[in-house]
Amino acid sequence: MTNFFIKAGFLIIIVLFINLLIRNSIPYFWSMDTLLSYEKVLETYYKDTNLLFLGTSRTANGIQPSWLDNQLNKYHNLNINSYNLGIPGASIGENCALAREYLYNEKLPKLKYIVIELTSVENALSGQFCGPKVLHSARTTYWLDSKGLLFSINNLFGQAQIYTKQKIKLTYNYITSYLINMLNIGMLDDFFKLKALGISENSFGKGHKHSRGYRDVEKEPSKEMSRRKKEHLNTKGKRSNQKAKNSILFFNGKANAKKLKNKAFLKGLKQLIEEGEKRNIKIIYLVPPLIRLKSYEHLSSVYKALPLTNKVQLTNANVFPELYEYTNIFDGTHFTKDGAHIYTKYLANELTKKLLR
Amino acid sequence: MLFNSIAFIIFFPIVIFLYFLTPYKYRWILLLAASYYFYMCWKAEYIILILLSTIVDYFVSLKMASLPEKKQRRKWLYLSFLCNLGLLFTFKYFNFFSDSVNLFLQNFNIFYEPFYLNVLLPVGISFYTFQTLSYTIDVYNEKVEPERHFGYFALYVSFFPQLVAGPIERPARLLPQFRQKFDFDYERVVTGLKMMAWGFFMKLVIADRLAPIVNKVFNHPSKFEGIEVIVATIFFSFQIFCDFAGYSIIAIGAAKVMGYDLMQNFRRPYFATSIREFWQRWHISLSTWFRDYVYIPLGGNRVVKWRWYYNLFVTFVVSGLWHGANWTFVIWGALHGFYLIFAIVTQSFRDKFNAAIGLNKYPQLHHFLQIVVTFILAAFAWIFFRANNVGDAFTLIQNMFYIEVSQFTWQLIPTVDTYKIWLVIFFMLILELYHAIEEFSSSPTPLYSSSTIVRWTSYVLLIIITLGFGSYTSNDFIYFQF
Repeated sequence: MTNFFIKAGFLIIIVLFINLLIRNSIPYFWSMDTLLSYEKVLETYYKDTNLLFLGTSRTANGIQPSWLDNQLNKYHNLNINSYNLGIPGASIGENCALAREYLYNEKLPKLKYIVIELTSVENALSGQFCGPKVLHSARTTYWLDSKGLLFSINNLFGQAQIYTKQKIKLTYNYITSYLINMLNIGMLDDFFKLKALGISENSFGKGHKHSRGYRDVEKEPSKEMSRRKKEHLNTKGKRSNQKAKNSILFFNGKANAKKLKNKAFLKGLKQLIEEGEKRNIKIIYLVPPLIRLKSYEHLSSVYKALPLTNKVQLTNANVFPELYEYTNIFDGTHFTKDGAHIYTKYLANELTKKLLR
Repeated sequence: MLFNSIAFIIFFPIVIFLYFLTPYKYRWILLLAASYYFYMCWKAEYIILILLSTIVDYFVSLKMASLPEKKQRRKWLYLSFLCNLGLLFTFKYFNFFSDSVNLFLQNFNIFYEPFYLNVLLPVGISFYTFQTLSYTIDVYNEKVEPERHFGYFALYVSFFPQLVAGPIERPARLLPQFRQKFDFDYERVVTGLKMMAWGFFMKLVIADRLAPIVNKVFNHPSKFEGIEVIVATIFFSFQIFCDFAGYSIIAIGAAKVMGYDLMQNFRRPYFATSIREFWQRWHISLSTWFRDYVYIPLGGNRVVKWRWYYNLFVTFVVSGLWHGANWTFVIWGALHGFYLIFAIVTQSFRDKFNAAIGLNKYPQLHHFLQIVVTFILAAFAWIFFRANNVGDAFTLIQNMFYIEVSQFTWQLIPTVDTYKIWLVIFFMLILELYHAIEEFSSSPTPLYSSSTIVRWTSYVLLIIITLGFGSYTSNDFIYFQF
């Protein structure tokens, strides 16, 4: 039996060593075609970007960089060139890892600001994106390293409202995905595919190249989005009204901010701010509109504890009622083109206050 | 639980660890609990079907053993048939039967709303049903003594490595092994693990990479023609082989680690020189089951010629139906039955023809041509097996003959990346190269007798390739649905 364990151990060490060699000799890349196309457009055509937006599909479909730049430069002479790198379904861990990618690797030499959409952790890394059912997922191969794993798990266990069973399940998903990354599962395939096929600029639809990353949801809605649009139209504004009420509750302090503070989450966000400051890049966290009550419960205390100069909110329905107008919303979560325009207008106003400081 | 899942990667070492720690006497308890857990991971309530089958066959066999007359035993055998085949019919064939009756009656202008059962097909029901049936039939024929230990018998029905997709074991072979005392044997454990690694390579790197390409063509038959259909058909031939043989090898390897020898289920079937030989190499546990429990009881070949052909044909049609409740499977089985009968009928003519053209003077060329022709016949039949319905199968066959020069591109199948196609072809070539070495080498396991460096390099490469190039998007094994 000893002989078996010695040989098996030796084999495992060789395999792990070769995996490490492979991992370190493969450059950083995204394994999902659509995301690769985003990065390619950014790094090929918009290297002059000095303000980068990171977030979920809310960001991708909500922020129009060209219009925003125009406003900021015309009225405030800020000389902003922004790019919208919102990724549908991205978790906060994923966005923090992406922010670090741009902080440290000097891919965008003029970068001065990174605006990160603040999302709660509760549904991040659901089985759809990683975990035992989808062993190799494009959503985790590039960011879930040991730092990402620790941040995500600490963040998860800091959330008081999540049931222990769900915490265990998500932790299992995170660890599984981390191990998969360490073993390069599916990675060689992605690498060779990338080398053989190259990156298409249009994998993520054709529009985003000329709109600095912004995607008009009305142009190429996915089947799921179209389904949700129908559902949204059927509700005739009931759901957006409810979300508006939730946002007001959040700002009236009824979400019991003090009690629910997620220290690990806050610590991770503050750490990123500090890392940015060291490299003269300002990190700003943005709370978007149209989020769920549960997300407000998760985010409120953390948001309130963030430094004033590093946060922006566009979620309070008392202040931004148009963002909850039924007609400006495409499917209950994303904006129509007109809605995105209004959202960008408000964002420009709020950002100006932060950037002029 | 799937073999290609994280759950199994955690489950298996734990079971093995506990297995070797547990005293021999109590190992059956561990294995039975592990087997039930393995099955219940899929749908817990369906364990009742296995339990029912186990209880009925346990008591039926004991009863049969107490009766001296075959006539008396027969009633109990029928009870076992009623229970096992009744469950199989209800869960697998009822809706197909109801649908077929409805379609048939429509020809006589009788229209009604057919009744369907809204039930899921229990995973592996055809496999464990056949395994228990072989037990009761063997007890009935007094070929084996009934197993009096309920635990061992329950384990025979549900032994987790082969529970859901075979190999379909026989009582005389598997039951005595549960009483044997297996210690940790280095050679046996390593051989088992090597088999499992090879099975994972076949499943994850070849079968699962082929699946999306094959699906593209077979799910849209009218959109593809000529070379595209031919390539997809060849790809499916390899997909089903690597999927099922991969499962079998993992199952055999997993059992071997614990000490149990399961029967070989595949022996390089695409090197067969005739359809008859193909069935001696493909799903051996099922083809021998049909031989012993259907074909021979029907009279086998010890009857008049027409009856022999009839026996062959019926056996293959039933075998087709075993695979699934769909006319496509029936046609697939019938086609193989037809191949065999045609081969027997034309044997002397073909011998004369080969002699006339001088092919028998070149035995190697003859052998090669036989392999190619057998592969073409088997691949053609796979079209029916894979097609979503009979109409689709005929569309594909019709489209297959629209070959144009413009189709001869590196891409082979439009809308599928050239890279993906050629990478999987490369892996298929590796597989067939290894099989060719095995087939024509004097050593039964040529790699095992190579030098240490060659062996270790092969193992490391196999693992790295499986990890790096495998498809990990939760693909079930095709044979689970049977």
